[in-house]
Order: sequence, then structure tokens, then C-alpha cells
Amino acid sequence: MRKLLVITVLLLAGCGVEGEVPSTEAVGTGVPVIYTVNYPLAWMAQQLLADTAEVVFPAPANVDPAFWQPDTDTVLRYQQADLVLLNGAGYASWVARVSLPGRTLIDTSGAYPEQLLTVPAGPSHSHGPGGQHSHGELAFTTWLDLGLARQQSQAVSVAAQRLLPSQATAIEQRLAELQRMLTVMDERLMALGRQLGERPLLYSHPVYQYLQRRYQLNGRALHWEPDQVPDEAQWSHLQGILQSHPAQIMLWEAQPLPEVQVRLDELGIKTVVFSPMGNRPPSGDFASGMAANIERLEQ
Amino acid sequence: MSGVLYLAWRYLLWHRFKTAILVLAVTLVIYLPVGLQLVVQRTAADMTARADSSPLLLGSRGSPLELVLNSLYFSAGSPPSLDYGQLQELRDSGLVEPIPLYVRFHSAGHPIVGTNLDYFDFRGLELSRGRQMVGLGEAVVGSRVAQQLDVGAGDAVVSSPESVFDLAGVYPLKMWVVGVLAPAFSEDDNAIFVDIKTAWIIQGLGHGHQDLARPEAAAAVLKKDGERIVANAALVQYNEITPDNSDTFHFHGDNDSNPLTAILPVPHNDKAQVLILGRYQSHPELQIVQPRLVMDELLATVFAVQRYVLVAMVLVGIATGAVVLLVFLLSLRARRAEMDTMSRLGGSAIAIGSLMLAEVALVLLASALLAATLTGATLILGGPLLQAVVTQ
Amino acid sequence: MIEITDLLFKYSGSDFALQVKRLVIDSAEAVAVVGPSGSGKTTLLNLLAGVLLPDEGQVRVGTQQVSTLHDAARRDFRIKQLGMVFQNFELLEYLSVLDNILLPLRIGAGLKVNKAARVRARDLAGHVGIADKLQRYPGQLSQGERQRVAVSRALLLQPSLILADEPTGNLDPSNKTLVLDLLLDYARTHAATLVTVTHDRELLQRFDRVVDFSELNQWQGVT
Repeated sequence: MRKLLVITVLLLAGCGVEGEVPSTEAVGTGVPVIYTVNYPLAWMAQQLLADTAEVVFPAPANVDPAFWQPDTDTVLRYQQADLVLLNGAGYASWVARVSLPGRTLIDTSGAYPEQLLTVPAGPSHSHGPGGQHSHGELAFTTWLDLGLARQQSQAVSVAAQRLLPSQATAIEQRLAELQRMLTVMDERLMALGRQLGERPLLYSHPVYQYLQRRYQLNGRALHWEPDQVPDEAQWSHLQGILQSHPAQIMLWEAQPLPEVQVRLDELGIKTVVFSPMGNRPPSGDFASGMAANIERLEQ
Repeated sequence: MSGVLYLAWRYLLWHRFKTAILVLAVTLVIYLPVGLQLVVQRTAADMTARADSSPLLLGSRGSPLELVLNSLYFSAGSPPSLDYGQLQELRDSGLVEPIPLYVRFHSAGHPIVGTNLDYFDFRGLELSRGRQMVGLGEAVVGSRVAQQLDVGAGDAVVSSPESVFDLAGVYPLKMWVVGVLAPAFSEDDNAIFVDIKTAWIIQGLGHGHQDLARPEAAAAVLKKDGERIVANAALVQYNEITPDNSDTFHFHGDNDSNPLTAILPVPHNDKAQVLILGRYQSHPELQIVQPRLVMDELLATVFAVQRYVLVAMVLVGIATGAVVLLVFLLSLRARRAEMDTMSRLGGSAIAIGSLMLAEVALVLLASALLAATLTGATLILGGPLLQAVVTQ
Repeated sequence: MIEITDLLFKYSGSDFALQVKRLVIDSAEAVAVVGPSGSGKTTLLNLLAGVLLPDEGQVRVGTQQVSTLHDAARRDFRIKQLGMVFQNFELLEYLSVLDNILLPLRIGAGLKVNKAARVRARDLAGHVGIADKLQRYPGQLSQGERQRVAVSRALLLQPSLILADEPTGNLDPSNKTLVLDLLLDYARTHAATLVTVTHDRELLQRFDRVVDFSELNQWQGVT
């Protein structure tokens, strides 16, 4: 019976879809442990390191990792990791409020600060001698610019090779394959961008800045949640925007409520789900998820 | 012989005031040079070990000694600051793993060391109780801090204001102790460790306050112009970071321009050390020092002073010895009748002759024991005291 | 028996000399020596004790030719066979009464204080009437008590010869009698020889013999 249980466990362990990142860490495996702050980085690390390292992305599946706050025990586990992959651009504000070993932190956006986008993230305020400032200044969904995603994967590769020099060659090879995948998707989106041209688009939330810039899209962002029905003020606000920006496509982070979709249809606005994929998808992986995003947009 | 020792003991006890003075004088003659020598040697060894374990220090141009004393021994008097951004530059060099240090503030006389978790691994510091710091406002204290302030995990320490009159500047921040370090037998035992960002919050570079956009903060709004809000003095700024308000804490501007008092660059290897030394040797605004060399210079001065003091002590010792000898000779003369009585009673010449020697021996023994005790106490207490004098 | 023969002792740098043709004192005899001050009585005692050595002649005490012994042997002879009592008591101020009595055992070669000695010291103290003062110091005693301590010290090792130099000189009449009684009583009960230098004419009748030291450099013992 015990043997059967062990075999069953082993089979299940090997049964994941390629690239799936386990959400719980295995204990005492003897390989380096890498923690990440979002799913795209976890996917990249998994692609590059395969089974030579344990990649952990501990955020629960139902939260936005950008605004998730890990508990004390989780932060302590981050502290013990051999590498902590940060997205950079202010992603995961909790990182700025915790103590992590400097030597394990890798800012995957650190190589291209000049390419980061600044956005007004809410009311600015001033008090005391510091002057005007606002809280949250950079757009952080950098990986939606697949060119930047390639650079992030490069940073992950460099860190991984430093961690596992014996695996350097293998990592380089996997990096080439990974970047090839990202390039294919990048080119598809480029083509799509050219196709869309200046056609006005709408975004349910301001999370597509890098997508817009990279692929020359013409979009404006609302602050609508997929699981909520906008109130009349919000519908009026939308109407006002449509006066000068007659969009017929609205990109959503997730499928909106049916009644919202119906009303958008009445306004002539097609709903397209384009998941930013900050967290792990219900099925598949980053590559398949992005491919699905692109297909939906192409349609 | 035991009879003679007994008589000598009774004599010394009878003249206890004279005996005490003799013992004290001889003790000082023995203890002062020996104790001084031991304390200086021990202190030098400790300070040298600390310097040896810290291959390099990077700071702003200024006094290398001040940089070393503040960074390694947490002395008061911070050197000119350098920017946090230098840390990434050092890291990007690939030659060192840089550890930030901001040693400026104190709590109940203990230095608050702003740093990151790498410091603990570098110094081999282990926790004896509690856990490592996780968030802003948490602190891990050295073993002596825990003992002297009677704090442990769950207790609080408050940073001391730099100046009573600087109300708009550094203000007291209440920090929660989450862990106590095991004794390291170094300056780390006396320190309160916080994350570098917590140290910046003490300075006022970061803070937490009410969300001015929320209705509850209406009383703190001076004026609102569209998306711009100006707060008034009623704005509640938090002087304690708790789980409820920690997400309101933020920093203004770029952290790269926030201050450090030093960076501890830990070279990956000897070649890296040479390279990084060369890179910063002629930097116009920064200095890179090798703490061991700086401490050797300081200790050379200490040793020179010690030599002069020892010479003086030897001279005093000779004079004291002469006086003690005189006392014994006078005592011998005064006790001639007593010796004569013993002789007439039939006391052996050896016994009678040994009596004074026995008294001398007992005085010397008592002095040696007292000197040894004082030396032991000095080794325990004097080392930190001398180090405090040297580093302050 | 004590025997002095053709003794000549000269103090260096002085005209004084002691010349005794012959003096014999029998064993267990109590002899009082009288004479004017400075006539050499104390010198005689010191010669008998071996503290001084004669320039000529012989001094024999019992079987010991004291005048020919070397220093260590003379000291050993004094501590084990003599008991000496001095006019000024000569106690050690920093020792208790008990320790003063036990002093000979602490300074004598090869001697040491043991339990039996302590018992004897206490017995002696009790015999002389100072048993309740054993932990006191000489400064806390009267003259008579001090001399009794000195007597106890002299008798600790049960000497066969007691030399007492003006033992009652500094005492009041009642203590004089008391101290002399102690010495004579010991001499009689232990068959010890007692030679006492004294100025107290009232006490002379208590001795077996009185030797007059009045003639300078002339001494003839009456046999």
C-alpha cells in the first residue's frame, strides 16, 4: 500500500503541464531555491532551469501579485531563497517594505531603467518640506512588452548561471529557445499592432502601458473590475470618452460579467480578454496564455 | 615553617591598617603595568580581529579613522554620507557583494545600525531568540542590548531624538524587537539592527500617514486642487510601524540618493579586492579604506602611549618598592626586642630569620592574588572601556 | 645540676667582666640570686642559658656543656630544657594569650603545635588562673596576668631548669606572691631547678639558697 502511495505521488509530481510552476515548495530537495514576485518570472526561471532548481511563486492563485502582501512566514522563506527575482519598476510594493538579503535580489528590469514608463497613479499630495509627490509612479507590467520580456529573461539567465555555473551551457541553450518563443509572440503582436493602426481601443484597467507602447496601440484606460458592474457614473464616463475616442474593442484582464458584456455590445464595443498574466493561469503556461491572448485579439 | 607562617599571619592581621596599605601599594605596582599591558593587548587584538574581518570600507571622502570607527565599532559621530546608489554600482562591478551601513542614530545609548540581511551572514551572527526582521520598523538586537535594556521579542525600543530642538527632523520611532542575537563577543552585541529603510524612516526620509484622499483625513487637508492635495499640520504621521499602517509607509524620491554612512564591500576574491581598491583609490568624492591598516595606525599610537605609561609605572614601581623595603626595614628595627625575646626563648635562628620573610611573602601573595583578581576584572570590563575610549 | 668553673666573661668595649671561680647548683634546688643592679646577674642567667658564651671557663647544665655548644644546639637546649621568665614579661602583643603560651612550639626547631600542646597550654592557663582570658591580648591584661602568661609559656615544655630574671619586679605584692608560688610549686613538683634573680628580700626565705652577687668579679658558690 505504501509503495503504491509513493508511486502515485511520484506520478502526480511528474504529471504537470510543461512549464507549470508549483505553488508550494518542496522541502529539503537539495537544489537551489528561487523565489519570484510574479508568474512570468517564475515561468522564465522554470524554462531556464528545468529541474536543476526549485522555482517558487508563493502568491495565492486568486490575488494580483502586484498588490499582494505576503505574511511574515512567507517573507522569511523569501529571505532563505538562493535567488529572489524581482520584476522591478515598483512591481510588488511589499518588496520595498521588507528586509531581503541584497545578494539574492535580482532586479530583472534593472538593465533598462530608461525604458520604464511613468504614470500618474492617483492623487498627488504634499506635506512638509518634501514637496509634491504621489504614491506609485512607474507602470510595472513590463513583460507585456515582449522585447522587455526578452531582456528580463536575459537577466534571469545571468543570475541563474551565476547560481549554477555548472549549468551555464544548458541555461544558455534554454535561453535561446525561450527567447525564440518570445520573439515569435513579439512578431505576432507587432503585426497585430500594425493591423490595428490608430484604431481606438479601450482598456478595462491601466495595465497595458507597455503593450500599448511596444505595439503602437491607441488605447485609453478605465478603472473597471471584471467581477463588478460599473455604476451609471462610470457608464457616463465611458460615453464621454467614446465621444472623442470611439473605441470598438475593449481589452479586459479577465472575462467581465455577462451583463457588462451585453451593455458593451450595445455600445458597439467588443470584449476581448487579454490577461496580463501576472499570476499563474488556470491552465497552460505563460506561452500558451499569451498565445491565447494574441489569438483573441487577432479575432 | 607553618609556625612561622602563623606568626607572620597574626602579625599582619594585628597591624591590619599597615598591612592593607602595603598590600595595596604592592598590588598597584604589580597590577597597573600588567593590567595595562593585558588590557591594551586584548583590546588591540579584539579591534584588530574586527578590522581583519572587514577587508574594505567605502565612504565619502574624509577621515578614514572616523569611517572605520563608525562603521566597525559604531562610534558616535557619523562620517559624511554617501548615496545608496553607490551600492548598485558596486554590485554591478561584479567584484564585491556590498553591504549598506547607516550608523547614525541611537536608542538608550545603543547604536542603531541600518543595514540589510547580508550583514548577519557576513558577521556570522545567529539568532538565539525570536526571528529575523521582516518588515519596516522591526529590529534585531544584540545580546548585550537585550540584557541591559531587558528587551526580547515582542518588546519595543525607541530611537533617541538627535536634538530636542530639531522637531521637524529626526523624531523618535518606536521599533519592535523581533529577535535577539546570540553573543558574538564583538560590538555587534551592543547594537540594535534595523533594515536600512527603517533607518531612513527614523531620519524622516520615509514616513507613513493617513491617506489624504480618504474622508477620514479631511481635517488634515489644507487645500485640494484637482488631483493635488496639500496637507496641514493636523496630518497624522505615524511614529510607529504596525501591521495596520505599514503599507502607508513610503519614501519620497529615488532611494538611490538616500544616505549611507558606509558600504562594506565584500570582495569575491583577492583579485577582486585589488581591482576594487584600484577603482576607487582616486575617486574624487569617495574613499576606500582597508580597516586593518587604519587600525594599525591608531594602535601604533596607543602602543606608543602605553610605552610611556609603562616607563612611568616602572619608575613609580621602583619608588614604591623602595618605600615598602624601608617599611620592612624599619619594622625589623622596631621588632628587634621581639626577635631578641624569641632568641632567648630558644627560637631557631631560621625560624626567627624567616619571620620577616614570611610576612613579606604573605604581603606579596596577597598582593599577587589581588592583582590577579583586578587583572581578571580588568580584562572583562577594561577591554570594552578602553575600546570605548579609543573609538569615541 | 648546674656547674660553673673558672668562668670569665667580658663585655666587648666595656670594662665590665664577670668572673666566677666556681658555682654549683644542685638539681631541683631553688636558688635566689641577689646583688646590686649592674653587678652581672642577668649576664649570669644568659651564660647559664647559653645566650652568651664565656670567654673562658665552662658552663655545664645537667649533661650539657652549654659553653661549648654551637648556636643551634644552644637554642635547642633553651627551648626544650629551659623555661625563661623575664621582668618585663616580653609577651608578643599581636598574639593572644593562648598563642603566647604556645610560642615556643612555633619557633623551636622541629617543634609544632598539636592537640596535646593545646590541651597542656589550656591546663597551664587554668593552673595559673587565666583560663578565661585565652583569647585576650596582652594589652588587655593586668601586669600580674601578663606575668602569669609568661610563666605558662616558660613551663609549656616542662623544662628541667627555670631561669627567672626579676619575675616579680613589676608586680604588686599579691601578684609577686602568686607568681613566685607558681614557680616554686612547679620546681618542687617537677624536680626542676629554679634560679631566680630578685631584689625582693621579702621573698628570699622561700628559696632553698640565696646567692649574693655583691662582690664584683668574685663569686664563690657555697657547696
